[in-house]
Amino acid sequence: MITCADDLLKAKKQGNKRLFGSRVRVNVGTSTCCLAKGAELTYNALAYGIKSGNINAELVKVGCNGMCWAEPVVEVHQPGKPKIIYGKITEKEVPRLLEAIAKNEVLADMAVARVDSEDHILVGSIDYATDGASPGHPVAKIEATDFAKTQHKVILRNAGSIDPENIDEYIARGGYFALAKALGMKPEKIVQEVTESGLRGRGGAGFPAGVKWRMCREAAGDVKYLICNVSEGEPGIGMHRSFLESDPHAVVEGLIIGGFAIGARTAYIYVRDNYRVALQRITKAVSDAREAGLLGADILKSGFCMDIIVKEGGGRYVCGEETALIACIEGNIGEPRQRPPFPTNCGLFGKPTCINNVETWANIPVIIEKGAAWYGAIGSAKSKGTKVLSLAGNISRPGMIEVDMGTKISKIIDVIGGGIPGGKKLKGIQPGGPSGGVLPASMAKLTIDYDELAAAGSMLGSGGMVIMDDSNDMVKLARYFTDFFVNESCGKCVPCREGVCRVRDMLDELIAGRSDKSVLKHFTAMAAPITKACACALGKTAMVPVTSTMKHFRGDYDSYLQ
Amino acid sequence: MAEVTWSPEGEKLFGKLLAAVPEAMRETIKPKLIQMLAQRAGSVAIDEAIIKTMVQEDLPEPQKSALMQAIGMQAPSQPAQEGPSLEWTGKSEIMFELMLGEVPEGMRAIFRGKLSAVIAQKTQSGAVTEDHVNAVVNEIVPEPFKSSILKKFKTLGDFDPAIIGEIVKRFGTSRDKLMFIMHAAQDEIGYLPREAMLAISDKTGIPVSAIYSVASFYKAFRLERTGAHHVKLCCGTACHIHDTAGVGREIETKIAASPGVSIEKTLCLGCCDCAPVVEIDGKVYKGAEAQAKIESITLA
Repeated sequence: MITCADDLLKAKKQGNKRLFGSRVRVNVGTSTCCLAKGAELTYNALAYGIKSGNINAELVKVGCNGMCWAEPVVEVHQPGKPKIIYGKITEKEVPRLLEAIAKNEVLADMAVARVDSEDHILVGSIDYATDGASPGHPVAKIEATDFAKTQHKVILRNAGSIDPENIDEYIARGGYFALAKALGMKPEKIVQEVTESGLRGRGGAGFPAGVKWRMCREAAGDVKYLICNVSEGEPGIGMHRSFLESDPHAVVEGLIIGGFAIGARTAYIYVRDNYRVALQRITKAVSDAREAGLLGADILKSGFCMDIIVKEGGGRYVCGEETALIACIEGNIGEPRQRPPFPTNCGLFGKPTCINNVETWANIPVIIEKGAAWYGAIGSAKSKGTKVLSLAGNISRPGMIEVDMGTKISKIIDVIGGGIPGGKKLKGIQPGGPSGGVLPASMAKLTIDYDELAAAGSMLGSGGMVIMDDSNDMVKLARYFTDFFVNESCGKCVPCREGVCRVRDMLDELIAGRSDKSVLKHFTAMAAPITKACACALGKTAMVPVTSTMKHFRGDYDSYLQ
Repeated sequence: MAEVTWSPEGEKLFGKLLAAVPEAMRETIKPKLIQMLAQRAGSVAIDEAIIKTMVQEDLPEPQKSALMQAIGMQAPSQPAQEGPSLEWTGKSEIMFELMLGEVPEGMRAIFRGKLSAVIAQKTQSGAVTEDHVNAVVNEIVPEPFKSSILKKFKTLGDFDPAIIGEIVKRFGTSRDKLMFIMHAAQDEIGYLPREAMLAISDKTGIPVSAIYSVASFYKAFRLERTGAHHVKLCCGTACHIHDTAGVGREIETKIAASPGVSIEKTLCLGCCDCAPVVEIDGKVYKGAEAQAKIESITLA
């Protein structure tokens, strides 16, 4: 049980003992993305090898460290030596790796990077190479690698380093200290801190989080709810899943602080049904926190009571829309409703409800611990903090990354992502899910910034960045996205249900070579009512894939015209 | 058929009576009823009074009560009331409900009471088993209902409805728990059969129409049994971009040709870095591994 600051320190010690034990620590990434590449086989082979070879090592399942391109990833830390990150350790490579571990050697040809020390935003410097520097080490320092050098790990500070199913390891890296601090503050002050930090909702639209919190806090009524949105229904996004699988306690901590500040005693974490591993890990995190006394009655003797319910979703894109999500939690079909009233006044079960997405909640402990001024110094003028992106598509190093707001897209593609593979050229960028449309290569000079992308007719979305090379046909891509919107329409508003369907048919005709120039006018004519007359963002943005590709890749359309 | 004459009111009432008889039996029952009426009427025209007496005195229960009510007579002593309270085991309750499902809606309440009483007699205040319900169907239910009900029993599915009771007990009956219950039931059974939805409705009091609307709206719920292997094909953007070779379509065709394997197209599985991916029996596979796995399950 953790009931006071001393207990937290005790847990921290316990966690550090696990993280820096006397044995070799071997971390195996076991997020869904890792598992897809055979991480489970790697883990089993390692477990068997360690046991049968009597190797003095501790094998731990961790989350994803973002290096999805190098998976299965295994990290090996010999006490006192730098931590070595190995990539592509398939079952086949395990014997070699075990041999190296047993002999205290480094398997340089499989290593991706080494970590001498880590600059952790909450606990400061974490030293691995305590035996001293190792000049002439065969493996490059992580800070020197293209993949890591421009990244800034604020949200992903623990991802891939800790056992997501162990609360002590989270506490050892500064976890739940922000909660202790927050519970000693006035709720009003917490809201003010969040407002001053400039944090904007990471779900897509970028509404200031502090303003939303205040609206919900000041709304009439005793019963209020919080919701953490992990619906993530847009195709091409995986970082929320990865994050939840890697550091679930950060979300739990953010929600408890939010509950205290806003005056809510129940929070829901809405997770998509397809995310089996994420569901399992967040459920475990919630029950561990409850067992430790960090959830439930009288948290850290503050008198504040709160509980979290993990809700498995139903697998519909539209449920990422807040009113549809509320309907889903209430046990109804996920149809959005008109706003106002906004959920901050009339949300779940008709009570004031504050909905933020998982990344927004995960920012809260950092803001409380480091202060609004520290946080506000990161990022661009109007978009503060960092942004977690999942980088996918035609790119050399796909993965889960985190950069400061204001980072140039071209830098993300060329430096972090390692450019376009196969000697092809960049053609299009989808910065944030289908609703943000596709931008041409010339717009890679734009930065990750809510307002800058909005001005360019796109949106940051929740951060699923898909890179497309010049082999992609944008008309077919638009058809793919339109088909997605047809399938995901809830059917409530006619323009979305019927109109988008017609557009798909028109695209089919176009692709079949049976359309003339007039079809382009029809697309434009269809876009206006669909964009204006739908109740929710899904309908309003359903035409963006077509209109944006028509605007930027007109040549692709012309090539199909009769 | 006996030669009979009708008074105008009598003929009207007889029409009403016949309308209350389930359609499938109407042709069989009609001559029998007319014969009974002819016996009572002798040479006089059949009027309302004769029909009412016939129904009251010549018909067996539970048809008697049901038809009396259908033609607007006061049914005999405590007709449609709650039957004895029974303790159901196994699939017995669902079988009982299925049996009642064959009864026209207007008569169902009466039949429920009467049949419960028959079952109570059989069990002699013990728990109801599937055998008891089977026996009732075999002994009292006339054809063609008997065959139809027995056929339905066979397709009842192989899940134990008692689990629904347990699940509902675990989550409670409020509306916001509905999806939790449905997810749990699906995890347990593998899909959501009609009977499971009926059982959930019965235990929670949530209308079955509402349950069906939720089940059919969300893609997470499957209304049909999946194959021995279930494949989810990711339709995310990255998978779309990477699948230039048409692997997805190939998998679809392959599975369509292999009985026992089912396929579902799904929203982005969130493993965009390793596109194209498929989920096979709950595990995510990519590239060559996925194809090898598909190969192995479609051959089997």
